[in-house]
Amino acid sequence: MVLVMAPLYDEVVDLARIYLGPAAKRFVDRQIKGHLEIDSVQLKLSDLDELATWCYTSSKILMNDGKAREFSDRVKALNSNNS
Amino acid sequence: MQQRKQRPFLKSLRGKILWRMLAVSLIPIAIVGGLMYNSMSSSEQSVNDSLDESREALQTDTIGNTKATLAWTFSMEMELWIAERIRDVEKWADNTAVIEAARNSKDAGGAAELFLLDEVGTSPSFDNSYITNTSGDIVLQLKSIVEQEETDYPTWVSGLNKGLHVSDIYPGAGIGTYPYYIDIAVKIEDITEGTDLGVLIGTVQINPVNFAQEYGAKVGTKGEQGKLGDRLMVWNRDGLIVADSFDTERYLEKTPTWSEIEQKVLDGMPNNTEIISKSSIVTDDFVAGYARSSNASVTIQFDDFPGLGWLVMVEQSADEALASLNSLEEVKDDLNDSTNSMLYTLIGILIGLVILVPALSALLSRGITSPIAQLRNAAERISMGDISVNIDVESEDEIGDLAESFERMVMAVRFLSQEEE
Repeated sequence: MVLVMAPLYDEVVDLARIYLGPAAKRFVDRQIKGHLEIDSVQLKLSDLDELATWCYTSSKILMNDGKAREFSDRVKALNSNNS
Repeated sequence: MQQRKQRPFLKSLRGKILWRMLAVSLIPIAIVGGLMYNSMSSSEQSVNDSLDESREALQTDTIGNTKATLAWTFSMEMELWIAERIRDVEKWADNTAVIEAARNSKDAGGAAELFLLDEVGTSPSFDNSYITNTSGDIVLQLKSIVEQEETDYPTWVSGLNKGLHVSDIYPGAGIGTYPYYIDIAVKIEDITEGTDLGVLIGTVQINPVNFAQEYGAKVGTKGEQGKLGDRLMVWNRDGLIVADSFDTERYLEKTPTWSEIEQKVLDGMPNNTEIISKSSIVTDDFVAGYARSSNASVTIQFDDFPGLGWLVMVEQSADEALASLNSLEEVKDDLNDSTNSMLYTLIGILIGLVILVPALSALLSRGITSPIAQLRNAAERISMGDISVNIDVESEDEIGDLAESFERMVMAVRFLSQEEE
């Protein structure tokens, strides 16, 4: 197995961990693979807006709307932080 | 839902908070208050002891001595008074008309009578005067002579033999009545020839109670107002009562019954003693000062006259005499009241806290226990499979952190559970 460094992906997972704890990695993987249809290591800054939208949509089922919106906004903000 | 675990209130979070608040609030107050009360009680005891000592000292040293000084002063005044009267009679005995009347056993021309009438008439102390010759025959008398009890040596004989003789006090026209009399007998002699001519006798009237009052002593009498002021009591050398300002019927009683205080005074200064110093007796019932008079204690002295030797007692009931010390009792009472007041205040504060602290702790612990109870309820629901639970705890403190972590855990469970489905 080849370990590939994916700093952006890790940042998203760290962020998701705030809201979803131990399920964060599986949640993020599911959004990237299931909705963006890319591999986690391929995640780019340009994907973040779409990822944020899916994060909002999926987390809204788990938590209240305010928290889901906050989570989404923070994912989106990673774009500007890294550009 | 699982049955919630029942626990005693004191083992619950609220119970523990209540206990600790009570401990934090009550223990310091109980300790400080107890120390203060203890300190105040010690101070009170100390002050009480000091006041008791002061009272005792005042009773003995001040009030007792005051009475003794009164008795002493009065006895001195009596001795001075009788000494002045003796000097009067001695002066009269040197009068030419008196000498001639005694020499001739006859007051030819009435010169001696005129002289004595003038002297006795101008003196409030003298009641009578008479002259005897060396055989005891009456040469001259201004008034009828009061009959005295028969004695081995009549006054004139003693006067003739000794040159000067002062009789015992004797009653007037009946026992228990005033005035009382004392005869002063002075030998009349021809100095140039050295021969005895007769005896001049001056009779003075005396009422010790009136005498004391005339000299400004506040002597009380038994009257409508009861026994007020100082009681003056005088005994002669034979131990007979010469005066009792509270009971005139006791004068010259043959077999008196002594009260406790009288007995103490008589024991303290027996009749045959020559002690002339003053003393005092202070008990719970009375304060008395006493002194025995002597001619040696006054400025006019006579070789042949030792003095009346009267025992004088000034007595007052302790309640009346020590009334001025009641303020000390008031100080003690005030101090006791203050200490009791402090104790009651302390008890009141402790009782108030016992009531107030549980109410306050209930109010304050609600902010701590409510979020915890919420989390506990949510955890119970999740443990029973209900993952739809919402954690709605808004708090910035550690409980808020706990709620966030818990919520994160719930989200994870909820997500993983959905994923499985």
